Amino acid sequence: MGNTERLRNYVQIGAAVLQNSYFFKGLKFCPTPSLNCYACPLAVTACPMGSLQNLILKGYLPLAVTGFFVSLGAAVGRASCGWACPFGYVQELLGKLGRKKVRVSNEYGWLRYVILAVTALALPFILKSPIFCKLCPAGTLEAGIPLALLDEEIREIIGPLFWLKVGLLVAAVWAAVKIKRPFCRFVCPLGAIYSPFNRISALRMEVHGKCVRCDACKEICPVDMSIYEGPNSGACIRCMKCTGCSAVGVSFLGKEIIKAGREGRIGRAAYDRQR
Amino acid sequence: MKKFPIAATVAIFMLGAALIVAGGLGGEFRAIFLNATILCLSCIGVQ
Repeated sequence: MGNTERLRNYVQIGAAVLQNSYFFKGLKFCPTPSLNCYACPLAVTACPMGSLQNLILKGYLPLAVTGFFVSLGAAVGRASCGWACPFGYVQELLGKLGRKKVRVSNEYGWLRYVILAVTALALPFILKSPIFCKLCPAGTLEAGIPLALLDEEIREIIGPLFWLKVGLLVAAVWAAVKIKRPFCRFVCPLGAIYSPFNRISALRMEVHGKCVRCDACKEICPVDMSIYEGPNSGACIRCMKCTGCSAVGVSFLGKEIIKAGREGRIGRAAYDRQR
Repeated sequence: MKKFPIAATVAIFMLGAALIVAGGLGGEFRAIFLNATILCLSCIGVQ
């Protein structure tokens, strides 16, 4: 495991603990950068997708939540998916269970835009109900199941929709074992919001001309993409795992944080320690 | 591909910050807080 990957692991664990640390519940006015259900008994902050839907269904023009997405997206693009999302981290851990992965092209990433438009924007406005929350597997994992286990009254009002949600969670878990981060790549509406910002964000991936296009980066990439094909494409979650290769670098506001084209190994040999 | 100018990125960031302030003045954070503190039960498929 490289230094960046080790740091990312600590940050992912830290982010999951901070967002679900039980105390400091006064922070629930503040959306988190990632999908984290505020109904979780331990949650201290607000889920941005849940907040967005509830503001829409209550007739608010969600200016602050939109501004939050715009500012965060302009600063770091989809980095919060790669560094701060507890459900993304769970999927990565599940991914370690299955050795042989099913390859699914990122071309199907448009699905998450449809899910955003239908379940998180249009239906909450029309039906006055947070439809995405009602289907969200992250919510089932972080809040639905714990609440049902902890509270007898809640267990009594459980209906068929709960079991549909559990079914969706089981499907998401099974898919995460077989496919790399499938929920993030094909379903997550929050990822859909952040994705277009990758092209314009202050945090940018850079690929140097010495890249040999060996596709070793695709093998270690948690979202199965070749970084040279589109270093700032919407599919990239900015995990920076590919910076193990010296041809790949990162810049912030035009300043190089990790220099692309620096001295060091490139291609397959560069990732040997990360496998 | 031509890189997106950094100044435009900073301008978009500032626009986002302005929207956050505007939403806050409109009581949006209070609405988020109230929504996040009540048990909405969407997580168990009930509301």
